[in-house]
Amino acid sequence: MSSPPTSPEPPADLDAFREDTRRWLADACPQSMRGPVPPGEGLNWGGSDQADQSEDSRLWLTRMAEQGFTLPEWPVEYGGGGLNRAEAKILRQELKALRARPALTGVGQLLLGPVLLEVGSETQKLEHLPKIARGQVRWCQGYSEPGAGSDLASLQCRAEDQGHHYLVNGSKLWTSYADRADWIFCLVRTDPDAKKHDGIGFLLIDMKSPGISTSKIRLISGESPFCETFFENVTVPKAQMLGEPTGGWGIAKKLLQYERSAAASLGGSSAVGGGSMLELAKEVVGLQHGTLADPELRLRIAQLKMDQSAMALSARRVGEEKREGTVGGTGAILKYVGTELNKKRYEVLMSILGTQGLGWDGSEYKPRDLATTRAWLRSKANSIEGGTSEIQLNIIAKRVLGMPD
Amino acid sequence: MALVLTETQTEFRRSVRALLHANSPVSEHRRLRNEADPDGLSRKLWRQMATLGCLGLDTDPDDTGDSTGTESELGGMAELGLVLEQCGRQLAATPMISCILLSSRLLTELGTKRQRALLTEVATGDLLIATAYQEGSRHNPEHVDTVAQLLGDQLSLSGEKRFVIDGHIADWLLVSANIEGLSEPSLGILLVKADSPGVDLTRTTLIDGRNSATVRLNDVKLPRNAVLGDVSPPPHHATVLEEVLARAALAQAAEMMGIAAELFERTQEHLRTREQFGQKLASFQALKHRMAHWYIELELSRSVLMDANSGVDEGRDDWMSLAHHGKARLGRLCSLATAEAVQLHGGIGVTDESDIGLFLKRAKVAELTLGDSSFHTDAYARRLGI
Repeated sequence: MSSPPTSPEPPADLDAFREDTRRWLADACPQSMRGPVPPGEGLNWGGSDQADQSEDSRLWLTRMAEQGFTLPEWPVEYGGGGLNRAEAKILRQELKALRARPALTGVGQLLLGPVLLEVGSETQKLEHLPKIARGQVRWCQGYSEPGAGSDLASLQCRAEDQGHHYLVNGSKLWTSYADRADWIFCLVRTDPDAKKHDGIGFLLIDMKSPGISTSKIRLISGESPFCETFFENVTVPKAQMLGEPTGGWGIAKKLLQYERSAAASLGGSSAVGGGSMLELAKEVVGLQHGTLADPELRLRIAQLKMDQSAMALSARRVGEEKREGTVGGTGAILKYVGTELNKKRYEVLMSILGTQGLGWDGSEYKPRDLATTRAWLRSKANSIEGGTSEIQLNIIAKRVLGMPD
Repeated sequence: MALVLTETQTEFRRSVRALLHANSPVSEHRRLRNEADPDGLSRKLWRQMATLGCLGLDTDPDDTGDSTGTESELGGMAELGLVLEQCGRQLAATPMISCILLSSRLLTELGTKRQRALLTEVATGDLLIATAYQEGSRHNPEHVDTVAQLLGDQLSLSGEKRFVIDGHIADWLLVSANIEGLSEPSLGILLVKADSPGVDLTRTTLIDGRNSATVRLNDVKLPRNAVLGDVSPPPHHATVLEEVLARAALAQAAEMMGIAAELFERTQEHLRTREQFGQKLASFQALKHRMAHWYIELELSRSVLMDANSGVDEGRDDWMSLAHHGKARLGRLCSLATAEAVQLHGGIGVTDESDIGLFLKRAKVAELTLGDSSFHTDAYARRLGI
């Protein structure tokens, strides 16, 4: 994974930059955008549909985007901040000191953007990157299909070359928030006669195009973050193909790496509804002779804490090895470990909450309890989305351990 | 050290590996066992390790003189970890834990100048000191029935210590005992010559071919300055003992890392070469997933150990927690590693001819030495405040 290009100019004066940034943030960041995100409220994913965002959230996004601070290390011409690594680090530190929430999140910023920077044509970059950086366009991801889950490369959604445009037919499953997205990036079958990995293209499609419809999928958590998206004779200009029409699989894999490193970061936090798991355990379970009243649960919590620290240290080690140029295979374990750990974390939280964690809704349950329960249900998908745990084990066995097919 | 080795450390590891590879292959461990060697380990290897500077890594250079040739850049848990990991890979039987991590460290932390004078000969490999802290069959350093009764200028030491690692060949012993006859009773560590009248050493042969001893102390007469440091004011050695045991447990975990990594590589090689149903075992998905899972646990353990070692060397506030985590995790890793190695090797894995059994036995001893995973998980939880 390569980092986004950095501004060529050396830092004139980092202390002055820190001073300016701190002062600017203190003014720009609304009070309600500081501290943990309360249950029921979500981060700003950008896009034309801002209905669920507060006025402060929209303001915070606009201000940060004007400075290029939503994507601080991207070049200015693509809507970024043009900061070098040291300046970006200062910005992160100052945001953290203010406990400011991210002004913008989403797959455009986290997944598509880095790949566009790497493989997009100049026209594509100028067209799409600034809109991602400013949060004007919300993207969704069209990878899986009803018949192509773990075996993603067997996908059937067709893009037929019609001379001036492609004609797209088929459907995509697990398209996150497709009902609210402005654009979708899709893996499509461009050559049905080629070997399955070689006949795939990576297509950028405007969700307003005629022939596209979505239907929401209700999950066990009661929420519907995913959709099924249908394409019926959708016309897509040929300029919207990213890379070669049959080179999509390589791009898809690049993007999956970004997706997996984002998923891996799930397991690290133990915060729940603003407090720590340890505090929650002491409050709900209670202490007896100085140790948690439930000895078995006490050891499970200790074990989880150890595992979280092992995960965080491994992620740090991967970073350090990258800088030293001694990269081993450790990076390949992070998606598996992070997501499995997040599931375990919610199992422990459910044990701590006891029957208070069984509420679906109503006034007898604290928002913290309800949110934890829903998050527990949501966490079950962590080891399925973005490449299942079993696929991750296949990857480790094949790529790291060199075990034969 | 952070989470990657420095060049100096990589170079040092190479030297240790070369020394052990040449002088202590696994076959040497097998020979010591088969011939029921009276020492149970190679003193020649121990002196060679002294020449490399391994034995002075945990002491103040002022106490050991220049005899160790230790470079100033080296010295600390990170390097001790490298030595022990290589020992684990080769099953090298050495008194590294007993004599260096436990005894040298206790002397360095608590000894008077006169007592610390022993360290010069320890660092050259000529003198062995064992630490006698355990009394029951489970690791519980707080459980001490051994008593040192102070009568005038004399101490009378009585009690029984078990699982005294390398006690059978020790020249000196460090013994934990409750000192009675002071203004307040307190735990102290006493320095006792192993051939003192009243000291009875019984060698015990362990499953891994190595040795410990049961030490029976029957009215052993000692001068009052046999207590490390001094007896006035009364010593409170319990905290230092707890810290030294935690450091030693972390070093023991490093040896276990070497065992687990070696077993992993040997198993990988077996799966790559052995064929059944007309194909290499390595091509079966059920086995691939087990190896991938094992690999994940290896990598997590390595991250934790590297960080714990630097935590100790940097004197971080939470270094005890890091050490507890290290020993707890490596205990679990070794359970996984030995179970998988034996199972995936199939029938050959349970024969004495295969080396796998030797690793299994050493791993079990290491797992139960200085506290198993339950002990250290409990200690870790205590430090979390739950």
